[in-house]
Amino acid sequence: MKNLNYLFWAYTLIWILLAVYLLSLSVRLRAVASQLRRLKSRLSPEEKT
Amino acid sequence: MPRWLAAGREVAPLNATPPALVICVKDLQQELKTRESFTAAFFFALLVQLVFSFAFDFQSLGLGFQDVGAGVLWITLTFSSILSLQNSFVIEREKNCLAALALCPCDPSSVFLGKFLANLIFVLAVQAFVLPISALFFGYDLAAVALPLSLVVVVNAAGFSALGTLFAAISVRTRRSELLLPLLLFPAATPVVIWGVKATRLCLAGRGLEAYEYLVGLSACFGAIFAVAGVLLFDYVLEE
Amino acid sequence: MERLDPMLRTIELVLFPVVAVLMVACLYCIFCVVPNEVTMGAVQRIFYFLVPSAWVAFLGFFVVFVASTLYLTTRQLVWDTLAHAAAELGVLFCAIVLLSGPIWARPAWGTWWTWEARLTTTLVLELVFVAYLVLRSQAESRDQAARLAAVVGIVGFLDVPLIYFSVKLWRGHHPIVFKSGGGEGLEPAMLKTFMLCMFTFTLFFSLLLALRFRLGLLQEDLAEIKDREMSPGA
Repeated sequence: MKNLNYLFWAYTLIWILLAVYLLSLSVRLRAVASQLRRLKSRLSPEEKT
Repeated sequence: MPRWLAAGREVAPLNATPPALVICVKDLQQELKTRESFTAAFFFALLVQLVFSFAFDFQSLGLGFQDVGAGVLWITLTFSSILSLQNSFVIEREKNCLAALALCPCDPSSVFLGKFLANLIFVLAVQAFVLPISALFFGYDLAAVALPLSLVVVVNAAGFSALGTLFAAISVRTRRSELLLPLLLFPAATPVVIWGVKATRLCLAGRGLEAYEYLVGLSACFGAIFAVAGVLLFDYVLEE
Repeated sequence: MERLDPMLRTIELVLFPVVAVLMVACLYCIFCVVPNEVTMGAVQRIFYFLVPSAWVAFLGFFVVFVASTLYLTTRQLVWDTLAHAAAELGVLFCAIVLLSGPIWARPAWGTWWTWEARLTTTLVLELVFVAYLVLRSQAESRDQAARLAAVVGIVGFLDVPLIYFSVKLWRGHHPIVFKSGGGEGLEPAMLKTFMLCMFTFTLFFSLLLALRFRLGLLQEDLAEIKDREMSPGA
């Protein structure tokens, strides 16, 4: 088979790009979720009183 | 019922001239008084041509205006138009007139049409001065193709200005408007630039109108589509 | 708003295993089942990811268009959040096309970049929607970002066919994507694999869109809570 290295690089780069995006998505999601949780825990005692 | 609709009903019958024309005339009068925008755009266009002729050494390469003229024309037109499009809304922002335009007792689409018309006239005025000078620079007899060439330039400049007016109004609202407008406008205006360059090249080569009338038609369609889009969407852009 | 979050979570939970299994199946088919293409050899296998990515990117821009229109008519920020999510994914998948396209073009056409109609259109669209994202980040308020971005989203989508048509007129250059060993028509295994990839990418896009949409909604919630905390009168 010829041109195998092109094939290899194409798929490697695609997966790297997708992985980077997924990583950024999960980082952002986790940051927002933790902030929300912190705010909720801060708010909930006030709501009870 | 939106505010402008209610207000427009009362005022429109009293005023005979269409509001779009009033806004256009206002812009042109302002420009005639200050000549800020014209001077800037005109000398910028000349500078672009200068860089152009340094970058591509025409005389030693033996290239004529019919080969490179289309490129020169469209680079100068798009680059200098960006300046004037930007300015037409920046002056409104500086004197806080955007709010006044939004409160103007007429349909927002009239504001769009007025601005669009003023911008188009302005772009064409700059080109009317720049084109003969560039023909002089490159030793080309412009008079032979003056009529078909002006048709091509008018139609394509109209398409470019229609989209440009809408995007300039959008970008002026943001923090760094001068960065955003070229970023928005250049890729979106690709079709009109491609068709404009192609038609201009055929025109400068001395071909008859039938060789490129379909290109002019396509550009006219582009202009019509985005003029209609501007009329329909300008309300949302102008809103505070 | 309240009902959206659990719904998106369910979509994610259902789609995630399906997409994972299908993606493995796709890769197996691409590398182990499909026969080699005669003229281009192994590189033709790039196409099983390249074309679905392009399709999904256009789907993303279509979602931007629909969501922008809905935002301008209903004025509900949820639609704008969806448009933002879809635009980001469109840009991502366009980037995949622009990355793998040249790698395919190099052995196939002998050059990294050609101004071929589809490749050029993808590049121009990428630029349009990158400008869309920049616009969003430069706006002065949330409502303003939504309004201005919606206008650009609609105009950008209207521009798609015009850009494609103009570039095609400018440069016509058509690659032969599928040609089987015998030269007569398309190898069935190729078509099946291609269809499988298209389907998988569509589901993958939906999964990513659900994730990104939920992220946008959470960010909105967070901003709202912070706003309420800041203002003492609330």
